[in-house]
Amino acid sequence: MNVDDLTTEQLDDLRERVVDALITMSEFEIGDYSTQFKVDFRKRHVLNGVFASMNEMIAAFGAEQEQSSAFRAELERKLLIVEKQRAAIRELSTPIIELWEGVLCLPVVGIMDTARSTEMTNSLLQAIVEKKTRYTIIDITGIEVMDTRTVDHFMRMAKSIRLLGAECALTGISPHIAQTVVHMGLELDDVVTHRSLRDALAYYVSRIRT
Amino acid sequence: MAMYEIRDPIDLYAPRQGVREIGANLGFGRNDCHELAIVVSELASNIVKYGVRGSILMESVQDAVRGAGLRLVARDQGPPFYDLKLALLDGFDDRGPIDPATLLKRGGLGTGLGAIVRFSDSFDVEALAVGKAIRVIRYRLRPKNR
Amino acid sequence: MEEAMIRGHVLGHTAEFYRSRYDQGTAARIDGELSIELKLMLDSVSRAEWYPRRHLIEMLNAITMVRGANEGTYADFVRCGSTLADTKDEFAKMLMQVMTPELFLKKLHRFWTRDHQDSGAFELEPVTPGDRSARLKLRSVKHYDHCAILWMGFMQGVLGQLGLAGVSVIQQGWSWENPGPQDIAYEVKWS
Repeated sequence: MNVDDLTTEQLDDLRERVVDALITMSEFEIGDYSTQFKVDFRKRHVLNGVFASMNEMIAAFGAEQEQSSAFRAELERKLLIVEKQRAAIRELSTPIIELWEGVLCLPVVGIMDTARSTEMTNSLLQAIVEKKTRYTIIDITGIEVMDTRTVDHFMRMAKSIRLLGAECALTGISPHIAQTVVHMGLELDDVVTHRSLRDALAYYVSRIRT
Repeated sequence: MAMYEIRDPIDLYAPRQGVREIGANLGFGRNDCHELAIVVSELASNIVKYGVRGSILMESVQDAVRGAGLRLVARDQGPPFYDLKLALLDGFDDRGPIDPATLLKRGGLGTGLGAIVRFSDSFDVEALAVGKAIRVIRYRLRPKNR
Repeated sequence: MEEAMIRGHVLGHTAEFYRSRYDQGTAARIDGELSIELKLMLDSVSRAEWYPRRHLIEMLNAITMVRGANEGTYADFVRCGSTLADTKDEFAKMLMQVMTPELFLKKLHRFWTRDHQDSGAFELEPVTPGDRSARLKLRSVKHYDHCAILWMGFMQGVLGQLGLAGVSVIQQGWSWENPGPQDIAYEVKWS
């Protein structure tokens, strides 16, 4: 097709079709992959074939985008789960840290419900036996409140630790928990208390040195 | 106000965080929010352990006498309480006292329901076509004699 | 009746427009006038998706509230519309190379539909070739506050990019007292 051979009318028609096509492409560019070129198969027009091919391309592109956006959505969902898991691990589990030989530290964060208190006890007692621990420091700075039965359990856990031949220090007791302990009339014979984890560490370092 | 699906242990994390935020927004103090988190935690743990799967709904309530509060509705698909009065006792389940071996196997202290009741102002259980619903309400202003 | 919708890219463009055109304080005040629903939505607006048109109206009215119903705000709305016509991609650049003013006005209804679906429509009156002027109507846009000015700006923007001089677009129907009439009448001239 030689542009010079076209009549003015044909040129105008061509120009209009090109403009139509470009407007369709602007929809595509915005991100609407459902857009399609108008192909008039009744009239034989030189651009029909081109437009039909472009429609196929757009459809294919749109399908690919949909697939990749589904993929992206799935990836985000998985990342969210991993993030949830990481956050949950921090709060749900009880990391037992061996600060140095014979000294175990348990920094407790989050919510101390009944399930967690027993899980903590089991892990701790097992670790004390395995590592032949002499000093256990349990830091409950983040724990503002505990149910009375759970506090009771804590004290019994301290007793178990003593029975295993280790010393149990409790640090970061909140005023509320202190009140609960007093209110329940619990004996604190098996527990050494310090105001903070730092204080406890300083104390045990000096004990170990002597 | 908020609904959480509960099926696995990891599902405990979100509602525990959520109730603290919702509680704070409703004007509950920090310790109160912490206690609410324990309530939610015990409810959710029970769903995971015995309820097969379920959900926890959190919504604000307003009582004519007691004022503003938060209602937690824990639904599960598990069996109903055989004897609720027994279950509420510390160290008991719905059939009777829990022996130490069983307690060890189940995890927990057998005092979860007790903790829920101690930290809330109203507690009731409704049997559903499948499973049950436990409704717990805690008011912002609690009577002084608790 | 179904709610009138608008393409995300128009919302995004308008938000970006006032946030970059005005100083931080003013922009913050406009943001402050917006509903929470809209504020949240603006953070994640997708260009091709459809959103309730009331969001755009809300933004334009927020600008009016903060900046005042005056000549300056009027000029800003025109500019917001004309920058909507800025050629950001290759296809738009090609369009500006190929279109004639008559062809643009003939196809204006497609630009409108691209962003508004079936709600409202441009109607072009028969044009005498060589006249270098045209009359058109924007129909069924009741309550679509200030769209008359936005789209007046759009027309000016495109015609300007076609390399025309002496472009004038006059509208009848919108006023500060009546920003959302049923129909708008436009008269477009170029030299």
